[in-house]
Order: sequence, then structure tokens, then C-alpha cells
Amino acid sequence: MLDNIVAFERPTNITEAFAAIANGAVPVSGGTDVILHRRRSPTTLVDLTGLPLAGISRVENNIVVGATTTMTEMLHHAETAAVANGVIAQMLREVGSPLLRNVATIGGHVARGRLSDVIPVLLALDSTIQFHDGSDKSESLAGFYAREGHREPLIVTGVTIPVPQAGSAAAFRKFSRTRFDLAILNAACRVDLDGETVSAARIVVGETPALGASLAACEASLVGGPLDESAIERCATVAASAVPARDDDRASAEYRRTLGAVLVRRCLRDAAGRLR
Amino acid sequence: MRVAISVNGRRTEVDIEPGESLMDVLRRSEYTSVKNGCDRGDCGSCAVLLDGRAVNACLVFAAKADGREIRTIEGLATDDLHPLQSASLDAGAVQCGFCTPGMLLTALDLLEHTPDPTEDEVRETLAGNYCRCTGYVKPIEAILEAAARMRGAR
Repeated sequence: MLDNIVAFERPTNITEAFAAIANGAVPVSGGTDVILHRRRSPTTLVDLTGLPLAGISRVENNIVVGATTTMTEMLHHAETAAVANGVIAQMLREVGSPLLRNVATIGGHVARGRLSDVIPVLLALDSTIQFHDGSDKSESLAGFYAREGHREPLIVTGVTIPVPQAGSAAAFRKFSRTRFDLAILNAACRVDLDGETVSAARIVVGETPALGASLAACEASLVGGPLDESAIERCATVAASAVPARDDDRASAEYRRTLGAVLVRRCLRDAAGRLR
Repeated sequence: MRVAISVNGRRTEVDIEPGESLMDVLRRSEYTSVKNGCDRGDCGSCAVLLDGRAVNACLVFAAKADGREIRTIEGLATDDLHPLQSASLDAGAVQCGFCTPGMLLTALDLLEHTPDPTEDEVRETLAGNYCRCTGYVKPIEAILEAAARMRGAR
């Protein structure tokens, strides 16, 4: 049992929920992460799952996922599962286990902003995040993490995933001891072709062990040329030096740099295969 | 604080602490099939069905269970054993038995949503259920056999 929890509030409107959070209460969505961390001082928890934030909808060329949607609900939502050759569904099957995915929510996951296979894929797809910090806001997920927005008091309300159009492909690769384990490294990519030429690319590497971030040098190495084997090899070589690898108890920095090249190569080959 | 929960179809009100897990509340309410293996969501031996989905009860705040339906292994058999239970006995899928309640409830979630799973789907489903007797082969056989029995195929 978590001691030091003095109250568990279940508000039904976001103004009330945010007021509590602004006052120091800790937001809880699925709660699978919050329940693992003992609090140093008396803490109030605020459950967000009573807010009207659940569900997935298609809005033009976007999949809009409400924050309290579980990973399982995303996995079984046909339109979401079909995005970019099924990259979201493939990735979600490799995240934790059904026992975790049935509870963990997308909003809680992106609000935590660490230990993630999900976020690299969202970043590769140029997703945006919606949140409430007194007013409703939206910004790119990459920008949100770059300014460490997840450390501010706020309520994530949703994630919007643009659906890549014809001529685009995405891929995800995770390297871990078992699927249930945290990744030692992961990689996600999205490549947009204009004819035979790469017009845009996202190469994201995560669990370096930092949160996934895109590698601009890798992306630049692809844009303007064909997505052929030599371009893929060049990009993988760039990745080996561009991955911001560090040592931790999962792997050494050197091992991660080597893996970075391998996973970027495999992702790009997957994407190239899907574009053929 | 007080929550109203339904366990195996029986409604009950229980006083809980705001930081307490559903696993702890169920265990002290004498649903001791809900095993405390790790208390951190690694092992799956505390799995229960919460509104029909298998969850690690150790990772769910009891306060969130208010007004919801919980199923534990105590409620699985009716007059006869459930097909998951009889198939487990027939396949020799139970060794020490500690992981069995969580494994069968996780399998029940699968079979209620996917009546005819592939072996790979069964394996993926058990990703978060540890058996330290290293007995995965027999449980997988048992779940596939139970699926067939539940479909009326045999």
C-alpha cells in the first residue's frame, strides 16, 4: 500500500481536476506507474478517468485519441491499428503485457514521458499533444518534450496522430530480452516519398536511455535521394554516431550505438519494403 | 474511504485506504486466490478481471474499483469446473499452482474476446504472467483446449 496518500479524488470536470493539480495533487490516469512510487510527503491523488477524455475518433486525416483511452482500446481500434501499415498495433503488441495494456492509458503514458516504446512511434508520425493547464492547448509532441512540458502541472487531454498518406511508410523496431522487458533501445521511422525521392523523413531512437528523440542528421542524410540500400546503409552509419547513447544498467553506450545502427537499418528496410 | 464493488456477482461495500491497491483489498476480503507475487506488476499472479478485462490488481488503486465488477478465480466454476480449469487439469498445466489463478483469468479475458486464438496469440497474452515452475507449454496447450471446448468444438 502507498502510505502518505491522504485522499483520492474523482472529479468529473477538468476545471476542478486542474485546480487540485495546480494545488499539488498528483494526477492518476490508469495509475500503473503512480502506484509504484512512494510519496515523500502527504499527497492527494486526482483520478482523471472520470473526466470525459476516453475514446478515439477520426477527424479528417487524423486519429484523435482521448487521454484516458487504454493501450488495449488503441490496439483493438481498427482505424488506429491500420495507421501506417499497422505500425501502431505492431508496437503496442510489444509494449508490456495485456495485463498492463488493459489499464495503462495513452494520456498517462505521454504525461510520464519516460520508458517508452510508444512515444518514438508517435514522434515518427509527427503527432501532437493536447493538454489543459488552465486553458486548452495543443502543440507538437516533439516540442512538448523538448521544453520538458511533461514536468509542468497539467492534464494531458489527448494525442492526435496524423495518418500518413500514400507514398509514406513507417516502421518500429524494439530490442529487448523479451517483449515484456523494457527496450534496451528502440527505433521508429517514417519516410515520405515524392515519386522515387525521399521528401521527408523522421528517424527516432529511444531508450538511449533517454526518451526517444528524432535524429536530424539521419533524416538529412535521406532527404532528396532514393530510399535504396546505399541510402539506408549511409543513414545507419550516421545513426551509430548520432544516437545520444549513455550507459545504464540495461546496456552500455557503446552497445546502444551499435544497436542504433542496426535498428535504424532494419526500420528503413521495413519502410522501403512497404513502399515497394 | 468506502467503495462499493461487485466481486463474482456479489455486491459489497468495503472501507479502504486511498493509497491501497485492489490486490490488498481483495486479499483481506478473503479472495486469497489473488496472489501477491511481486506487488509491482511484473508477475501477473494477482490478475483479476475488472469490468471484463484482466488487470494486475496490485497496480490498480482500490479507489478506482468503486462501482465496478470484479471477477476472481473463486467465481469461475459453477456446478462444474470451467473449461479453463478442467482443461488445465487434463493437460497437467498446474504445478505449484501459485500463478494459475492469474494465468487462467488472463486467458479468460483472451477467450471472451478472441474465441479461437492462435498459439501465438495465447503466448503473447501470457507475456505478463510468470510461472517459475517454467511450465508454459502445458498452460498454452490447456488454454487452446479450453478455447475449443468453449466453442463447443469438442
